[in-house]
Amino acid sequence: MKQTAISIQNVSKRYKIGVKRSSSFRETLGNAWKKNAEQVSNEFWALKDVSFDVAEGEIVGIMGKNGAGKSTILKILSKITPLTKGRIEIDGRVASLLEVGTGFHAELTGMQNIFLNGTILGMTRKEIKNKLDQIIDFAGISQFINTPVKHYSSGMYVRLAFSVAAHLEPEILIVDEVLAVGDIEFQKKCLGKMQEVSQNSGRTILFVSHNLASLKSLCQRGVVLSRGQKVYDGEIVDAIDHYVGLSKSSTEENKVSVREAHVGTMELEVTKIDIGTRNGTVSVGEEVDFRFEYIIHDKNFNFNGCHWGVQVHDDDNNLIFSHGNQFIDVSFNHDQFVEGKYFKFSIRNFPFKPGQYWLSYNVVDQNRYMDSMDSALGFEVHSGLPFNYQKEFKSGISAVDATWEVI
Amino acid sequence: MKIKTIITEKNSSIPNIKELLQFKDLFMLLAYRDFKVRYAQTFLGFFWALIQPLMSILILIVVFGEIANVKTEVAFPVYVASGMAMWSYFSYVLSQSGSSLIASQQMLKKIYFPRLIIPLSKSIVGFIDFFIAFAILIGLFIYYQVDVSSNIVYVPLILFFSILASLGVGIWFSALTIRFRDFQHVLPFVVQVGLYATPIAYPGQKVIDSLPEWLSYLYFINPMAGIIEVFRWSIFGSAVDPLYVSISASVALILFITSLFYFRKMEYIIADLI
Repeated sequence: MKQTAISIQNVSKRYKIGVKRSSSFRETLGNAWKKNAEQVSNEFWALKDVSFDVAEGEIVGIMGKNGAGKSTILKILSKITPLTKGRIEIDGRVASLLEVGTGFHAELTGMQNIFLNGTILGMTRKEIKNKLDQIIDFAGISQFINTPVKHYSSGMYVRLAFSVAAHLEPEILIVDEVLAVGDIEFQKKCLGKMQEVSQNSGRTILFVSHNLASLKSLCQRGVVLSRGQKVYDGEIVDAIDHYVGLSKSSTEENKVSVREAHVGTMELEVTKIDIGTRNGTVSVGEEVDFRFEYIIHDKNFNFNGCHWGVQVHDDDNNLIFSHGNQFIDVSFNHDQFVEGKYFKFSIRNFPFKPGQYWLSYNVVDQNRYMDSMDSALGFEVHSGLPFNYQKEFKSGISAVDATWEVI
Repeated sequence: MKIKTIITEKNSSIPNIKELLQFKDLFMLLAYRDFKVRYAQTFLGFFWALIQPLMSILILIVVFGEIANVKTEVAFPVYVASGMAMWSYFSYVLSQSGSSLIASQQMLKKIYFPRLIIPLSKSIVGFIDFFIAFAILIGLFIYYQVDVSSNIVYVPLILFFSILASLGVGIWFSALTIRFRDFQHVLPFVVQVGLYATPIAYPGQKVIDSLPEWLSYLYFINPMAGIIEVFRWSIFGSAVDPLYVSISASVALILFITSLFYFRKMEYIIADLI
């Protein structure tokens, strides 16, 4: 039985939302008078009673949708934010990598930034000096090492930043979604470096990623979080299945999740979003429509000129596209806002690559949100034949509507 | 020997000096960074460090020496320059450390290190301002042929207290600004008012002579008031009232120590507040 490196015991984290986080002096003075008056603060539990142990040398992947509590747990482990309840025991020196290039300064040279970033990450000057050549080599930017990093390309910048991080030698490494940056070639090199080090020196790694492929190749074990709670803990392959299942089930339900509260003035509230396709699943190239079911809370409100907007993000939280009825000069008048009717947003030919997507929506009056929700609906897109393709669309971000001819 | 870390909801309220010492390399590198980038991309570069105190000294000489006709025991320019040497250090360190947490909030959200390192590291770069004003002062000493007092051996001790005073006030401000953004606006105001509420261009003795006693006490609660007075005593042996100097020195010490405790209290929740 290996020794335990990290022991997380019943950890909870509460954020207060709804109140301004950094208050003004006057408010505090004001609040002193009504100390026992109603507390207007909304509590939000980012983590609820999460427990798991990580053994020495183990590589554990943490999965979960946006807002599931992945980053919060890493921040608590890194001592950036305090926990509200529970206890954590960590055996060994920890380095956490929640961002590459923390503290990099544009006016300083590559070399100076190596030292600055290295010490911020917890290395001593001596350790950095010893590894300086390796770091520069690994980043492959030796001829620019005395140039201020403001003149670097973004690729060079990331390579240098990651190279410093890759040469950390803590017993425990905590890594957030940092591999998402940089080119594929370099990502592979970093994954390789991380794997090599952990195999040789028995380094414990906690790894958060949306990238299922890299999780699969790097981790042995996976922990799945959902709404702040641990919902699965086991072999990485099973954990990924469970995570994907989570996303699927939310697609099948096709309902507005209550995970995050609606944001808006609520004259109108969306109660359900249905995905409509020909055969029940969404495939590339298919016609997809989203039907919004709603109830009206304020019967006297004049809905003339209110408009609808949607945003679709991929699983890495990149905005894929946004759309609104105003984009195409469609407007709705008051009489069309009737309970029992739907608003339908249709995409004729879904062009984007297969994967998990998240739909956010907003209903806007003037510049005021009446109702909105981030990542209200998750849906999975399967491969298919977009436009006039005869072969399955495989590589790239998006299919295109194109022709070939001799002219 | 492995390091063992235990994280619970209870946080110690005692400043952790041992941990600070472990991060001394970071302290030096942050100071080095500030030093390197301070005049980066400016046309006049390092000359700014010379122009700023020179102009301030000149204006104070004109306004207080020529127009208000303030009388001092040594040549007036020497008097003003000696005040400015200390004040420029104080005002630079105070304004930099006071706003330091807000300025590095991106970093604070992404990585842990003892947060106190950030305001503390600002105390080093301020010495640029001190040494340049001090060089101007030496020039004026020679030009006006002022005798150097043997008390000059106390200068390091006096500098030590001015570091305490600037950091004490600066650390208080940095932590308060995180809690209440209002203090962002108070800070430049304090620096501006301090220039006149500190005996830079007039003798502190004049304050003691012309104000009621309780107001004089209030005046010397400004830690730099006593520190500048005793600095003059150490370099050209001007008369000084030990009572008032000790008030200022105690305030500097108390501000510094209490700032460490208040900062400690805020340190844990910084990332949640910014």
